[in-house]
Amino acid sequence: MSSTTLDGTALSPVPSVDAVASAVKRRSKPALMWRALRRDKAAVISIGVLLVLALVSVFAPLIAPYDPLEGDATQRLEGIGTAGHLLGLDGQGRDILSRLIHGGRYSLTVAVLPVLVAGPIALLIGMSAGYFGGRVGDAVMRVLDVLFAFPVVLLAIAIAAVLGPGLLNVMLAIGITMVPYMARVVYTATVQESAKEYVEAARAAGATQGQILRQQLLPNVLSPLVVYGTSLCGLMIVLAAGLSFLGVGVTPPAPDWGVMTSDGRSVLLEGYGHVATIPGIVILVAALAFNLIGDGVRDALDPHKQTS
Amino acid sequence: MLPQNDSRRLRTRPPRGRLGAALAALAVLLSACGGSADAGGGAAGEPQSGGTLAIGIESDTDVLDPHRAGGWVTYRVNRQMYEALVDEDLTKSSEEAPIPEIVPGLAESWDISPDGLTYTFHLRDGVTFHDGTEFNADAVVFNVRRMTDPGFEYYDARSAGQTVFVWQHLASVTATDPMTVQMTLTQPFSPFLRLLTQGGGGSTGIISPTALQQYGNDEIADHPTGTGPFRFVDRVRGQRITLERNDDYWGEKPYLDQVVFRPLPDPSTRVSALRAGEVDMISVPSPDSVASLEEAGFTVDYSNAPHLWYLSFNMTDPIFSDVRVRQAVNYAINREGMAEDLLRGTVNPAYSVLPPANSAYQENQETYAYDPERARQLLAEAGYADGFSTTLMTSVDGSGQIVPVPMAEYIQQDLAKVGIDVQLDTTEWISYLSKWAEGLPPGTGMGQMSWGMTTPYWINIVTNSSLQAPNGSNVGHYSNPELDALMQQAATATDEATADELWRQAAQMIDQDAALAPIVNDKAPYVLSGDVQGFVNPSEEWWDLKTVWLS
Repeated sequence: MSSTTLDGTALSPVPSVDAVASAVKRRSKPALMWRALRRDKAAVISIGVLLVLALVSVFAPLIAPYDPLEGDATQRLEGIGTAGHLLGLDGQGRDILSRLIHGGRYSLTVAVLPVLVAGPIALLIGMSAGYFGGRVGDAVMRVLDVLFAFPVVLLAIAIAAVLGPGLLNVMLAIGITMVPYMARVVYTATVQESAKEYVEAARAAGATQGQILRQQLLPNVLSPLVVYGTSLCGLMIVLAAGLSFLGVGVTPPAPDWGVMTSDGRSVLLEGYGHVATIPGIVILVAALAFNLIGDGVRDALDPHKQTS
Repeated sequence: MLPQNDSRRLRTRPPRGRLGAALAALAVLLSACGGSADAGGGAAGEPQSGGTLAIGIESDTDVLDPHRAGGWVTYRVNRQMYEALVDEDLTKSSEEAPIPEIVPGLAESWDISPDGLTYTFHLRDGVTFHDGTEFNADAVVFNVRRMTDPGFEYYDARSAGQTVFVWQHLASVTATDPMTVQMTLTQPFSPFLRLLTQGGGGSTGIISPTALQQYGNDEIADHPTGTGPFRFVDRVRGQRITLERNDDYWGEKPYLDQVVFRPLPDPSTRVSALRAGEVDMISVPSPDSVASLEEAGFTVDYSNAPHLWYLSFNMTDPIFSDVRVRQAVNYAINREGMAEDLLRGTVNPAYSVLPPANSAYQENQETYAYDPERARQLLAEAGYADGFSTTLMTSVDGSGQIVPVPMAEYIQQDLAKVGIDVQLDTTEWISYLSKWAEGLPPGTGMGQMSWGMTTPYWINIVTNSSLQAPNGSNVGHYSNPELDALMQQAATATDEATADELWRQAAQMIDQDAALAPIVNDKAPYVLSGDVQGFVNPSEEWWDLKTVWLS
């Protein structure tokens, strides 16, 4: 507890540890990371791709050639290259390109937000359970194990059914469902890291538990979580589409990419493959981009690969 | 660019409009001719026994207990095993018999007293149940008491609830001799015989009393024991139901050795299974697959079934209690467009609450032809010139629902054009059924369902104020005393012509007051592979397999 002697110079010991430990690092660490990430071509391209998708989504009303909700049934299912409709029309005669452009608003939000919501919760649960352990930690992890017993979709349906349909509720439902999975990743990493020598060293040097958690464990635990989280982003789009199909997710006619894909499924083998394939490809690209960024971030967070 | 585009359109889309319909009809006719010519060449046209017919059905079935079960899908299975006293002749297609004729079933004949209060059924001799039990008047009384008599040991409240539409006016049932059953009614009830043949709600198929005593009211569904042309073999929930030929059947024995019903809820899965030869016929193909299935040599068989896909309006909703709003919705929906463009001609636009295939049906009742301008005007009169928001609830799949979500989206777009902002509330079928049966919740302006019967009495079931949900299927809580009185008159009329006239008036009253929004009448398409012969698609929501054989 008393860490006053750690460097001797501090007036108040606790901030001083902070200051010393990271005065140099704090500013340079993100810079180091960014430098490492920049070297990863795949990650850079992926960031570019997602940025473009995000910008297109933000400015959707300005870019989209047609109203994404209004269709002309007489032209329905016409293929790629139909006059005036670059990517063709869907089952309701709506312009697929316009729907894709607007759909990013739903799909990208659904991809990122649940992970961002679940991440901190998982971090808190996983780290405290992993670091402090004991009965409480065990109990917490057993409760999460129980949640593992439910298939993700079932759990999400149950939550969404209670909350009611709608985009926000879907994200909340998916976010909650993801907590046990992400917490498990954090927990495992925390248990592993806690046993390592540098943690011992910090403890021996008199660091408080808060300091050990924040300064020693967090950076090392964060990296697997970030990697896992980004890889989940792509899955989220698909999961949300599944929930929508079951009537608890994004409600029609909202142009969510996942919903668009599942809508097109019914005519996939009838010669109208474009309806499902085009949004499917977009999901694939987005999911791949998230994964590649995840890989890039993992490498960038790996101190062995950071070079100054 | 243009000519290319045109040729694509010709290739991938069925022709539209009146000429288009004629061409399509011609094509169906030609393909039908082609089919029979094939059969003539390949199998000499002589029906042959044997084989297993696999049918891909649109959802898993309810319990295989005819009294308890609900839904068309289930009755299509139960009907093969169970028979009622009175039957419908399903050996004729819609063209030959627009309304299926009432024919003897387990009763060979019947007498109705002139006052319409006493029905005497003379039962068929020499009929045995699948378990060997003899069919007689006691068996009939046993079954009717199961559905109606709370004092009876084998009374079943669920069965009673499901079949109340048949037995609501029953006063007594007695076996006057071993082969005669007499039923008396509390009031004349002209649809009674027809209702005995129905199976969309509960049905009145006769179960072996021995089996009921052996297995009890709950277990009988796992051991179906009737008198029908097929007997039960096994059921794996969600996967298959297998039936085999009843070699002791009293009538013409079926050709097929076995029938397997396979629930395949997803239309594209169903179509793929048919293409792959895993099943020999399917119900409800996705409308977009029909043209390519026909091209690939499959036969698409339509009928004029009493099948209405409709919306109920929530009369407890302040907006929809205004008749002008309900009429506006009716005017705003482009039914022709939905039938032709979205559903590729697999349905007919519906303008009246009375579906086809019943004695009171009238064609060309275009009360609400597509007129968005009129809709806007009515909304303005009702004080909604700027429109309003509401919710439409529907299922995502289910028995007779066709493709509910795309259809609801179509309606959503049409209503948006007149300023009504519709949120869709979609639910999986089984949950949807119970939700629907509870009645439309506050805030939900419209609820969708598919139903209909071969008797005009059906409109009473969905609009009579005494049958408001949750105590009946009037889910919009519609209440119109004048209509109730008119329908009571129609139901008690002993003369059929009078009854039909009264039902027509009732239907007109419902249509004018826009109690419901009829949308389309399904043409009940079935798709058959080339080796399925003798299948008849009658003017009913179900069919017989007695005449079916495999070449």
